[in-house]
Amino acid sequence: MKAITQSSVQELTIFQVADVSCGLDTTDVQEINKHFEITKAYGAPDYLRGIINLRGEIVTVIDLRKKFGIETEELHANMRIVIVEDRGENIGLLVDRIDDIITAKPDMIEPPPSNVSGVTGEYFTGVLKTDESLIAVLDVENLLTQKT
Amino acid sequence: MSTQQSIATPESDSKKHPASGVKPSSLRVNIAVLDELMTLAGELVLTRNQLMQSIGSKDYAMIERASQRVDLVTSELQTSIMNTRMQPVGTIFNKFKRIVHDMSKDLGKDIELEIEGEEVELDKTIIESISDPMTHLVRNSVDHGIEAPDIREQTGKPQHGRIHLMAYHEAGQVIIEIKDDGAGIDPKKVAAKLVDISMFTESEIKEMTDGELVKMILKPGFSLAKEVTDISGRGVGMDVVNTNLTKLGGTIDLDSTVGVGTTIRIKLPLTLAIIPGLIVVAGEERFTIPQVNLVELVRVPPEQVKSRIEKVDNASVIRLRNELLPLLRIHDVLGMPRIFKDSAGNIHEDNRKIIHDRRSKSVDAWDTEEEVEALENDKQSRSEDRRASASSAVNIIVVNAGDMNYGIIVDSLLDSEEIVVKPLGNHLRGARAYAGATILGDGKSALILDIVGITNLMSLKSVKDNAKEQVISRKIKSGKHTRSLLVVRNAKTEYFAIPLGLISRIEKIHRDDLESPGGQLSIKYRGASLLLFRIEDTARVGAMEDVENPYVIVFQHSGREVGMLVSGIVDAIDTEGEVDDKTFSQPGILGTSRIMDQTTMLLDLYTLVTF
Repeated sequence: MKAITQSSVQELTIFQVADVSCGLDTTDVQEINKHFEITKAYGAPDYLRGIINLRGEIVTVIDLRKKFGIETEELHANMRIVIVEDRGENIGLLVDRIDDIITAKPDMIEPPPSNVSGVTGEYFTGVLKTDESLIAVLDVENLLTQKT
Repeated sequence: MSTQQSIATPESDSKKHPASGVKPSSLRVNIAVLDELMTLAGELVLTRNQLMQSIGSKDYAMIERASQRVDLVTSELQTSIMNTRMQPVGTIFNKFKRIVHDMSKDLGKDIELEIEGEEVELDKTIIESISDPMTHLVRNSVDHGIEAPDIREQTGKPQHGRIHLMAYHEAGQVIIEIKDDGAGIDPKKVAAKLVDISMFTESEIKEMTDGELVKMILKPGFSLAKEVTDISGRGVGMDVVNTNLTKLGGTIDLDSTVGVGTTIRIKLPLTLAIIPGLIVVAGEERFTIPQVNLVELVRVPPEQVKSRIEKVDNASVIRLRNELLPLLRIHDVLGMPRIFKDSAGNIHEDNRKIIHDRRSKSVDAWDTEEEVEALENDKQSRSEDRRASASSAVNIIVVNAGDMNYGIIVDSLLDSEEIVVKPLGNHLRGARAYAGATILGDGKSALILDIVGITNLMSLKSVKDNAKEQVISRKIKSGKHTRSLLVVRNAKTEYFAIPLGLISRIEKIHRDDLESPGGQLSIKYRGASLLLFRIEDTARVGAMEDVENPYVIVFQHSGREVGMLVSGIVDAIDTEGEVDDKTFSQPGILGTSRIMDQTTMLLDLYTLVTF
């Protein structure tokens, strides 16, 4: 799957988490929704915002701000939950807002620096430089692998 | 019922499931169950048509009828679908015949496997997941439990050892017992091993009873095997079995006598998919507690908080019918901010001290202004039903976690509901306080509390005996004997009392739900009919006041549940009052007592009920 997309044009969903512009391969995105009925899971690691009922399925929501080590925010109208699939399970990523969908050629993506706007580079597979901004391409698998 | 199969007869079924075997992808379903499903599906389609039609014509009476039918069909459908998932434990029991046969041959032992209750059914997910832990336990029994024939002969036992596998129902759960008449587990050996691997110091060991020591084999990294054999003794064993069973919502108990044998008892829920649960509120979140873990609900009125909640060995406990129960606050377990709502519905931060670290004068910590205020409100409303008043009363849910009970303090209680258990994602699987999640009626998700997990999380121990004595002696000094009673109303001014311990549940119903087929009063209740009785049916008392929402006191009688219809609940109280059993004795009434300045008649529930 990855090999194919890497050789051809890649479509990226661009969203914002605090000051960081992140991109996610659109084929990895199951859906984007505005589901704010989040049940908090107290006692769990703090980057776990809680759980939601996604049409009968319990989906864990991860607060990307917390995951990136940035102060979290109250839910607001621009926020969205990006549902991705990881190892047979749907996971929700809470992001500040959805910006755009862009197409990128593989040669436009460079390997990630050690950090992107203060966020450790290990969560990203690469960086896409556009005329006006720097977009960090998310490495979902690495992001969702627990290290603690 | 019991099939005895000597291990000498070879078993044709040689399919051996590997440790993490491929799960079967198809299922055998009884044709009758399938037919039933088909009928229900037809019924559902008809009901849908009816519903659409009635919505179209805005015929509300018809909509109501249709929705009632949806309700009925849904619950029947649920039962039927659950039935398709039920599989007999025999499917796993039978494969042990082969395992025991093969192993005993390899080890030169003579072992007979007895199987009982193979027809007991469990949900297929449970059947699948207990296969591995049970294989481990049976292997243990063969390898470590049963001695070699010559040793058995020396100790005066019959040469052939016996392993007894048994499954049966008990209190809505399934119990699986694995019993062998082998050497048993020697607590001394366990103790030596524990010191050896420095899990405990010798002084700690001395404080443990033999029973506690034997249970230590369930701890991680513990193995008693003298040498590592092909079969067992690799240091990963019972603890894995224990965790796997706990994950299923099951508990494991172990009983062993040196030279006599070992009994392992596994308690399992019938099904994991849909279970009855109690919905509680803590902070802004709702949680569910599986009904199987529920023992009782206790509401401590504000004025009794001081006297009933005490501190022993740095932990909070509550006195409940001469027993001491450890208490946990759900907020502390989960690390939630503590908030409470005042009468106007505003949310405040709760300033009460944590009940665990109350210092010497800490009992007063409960006496914050709000409580005093609530206490006053409470007194004013004494004469009325007090269920809705006094927001600062302490709601305690007494739960059972295997071998111990404890109390969880929550902010408030909602309803009991059938909940559909959904698994949690990988990220939350590490959170030991949760057993899963569910979706409530309003579509919002709620977490299911893992009652056993919480004990481990909080390293809760049952209150030590000496501490128990300490409090009991304190009680004796005060020289009082109390009884817990539920005070109810029937005729407008007549009060009755029922011993709290006899009551299973209290349900608020609507008078239109009452039915009386064949002159016998009953109500639809949890998918069946609950027989109802009135006090005035037997005793010469005033007739029941006609109220819109009467209450049903549900209790057990001759092994079935029956209900007593009353018009209102007044209070649950602890009384020290004397009972006068002469002045007003009659069938159904044991006597009278002065309770809350009212002459209250004590009901004899069992004579009031006649089938």
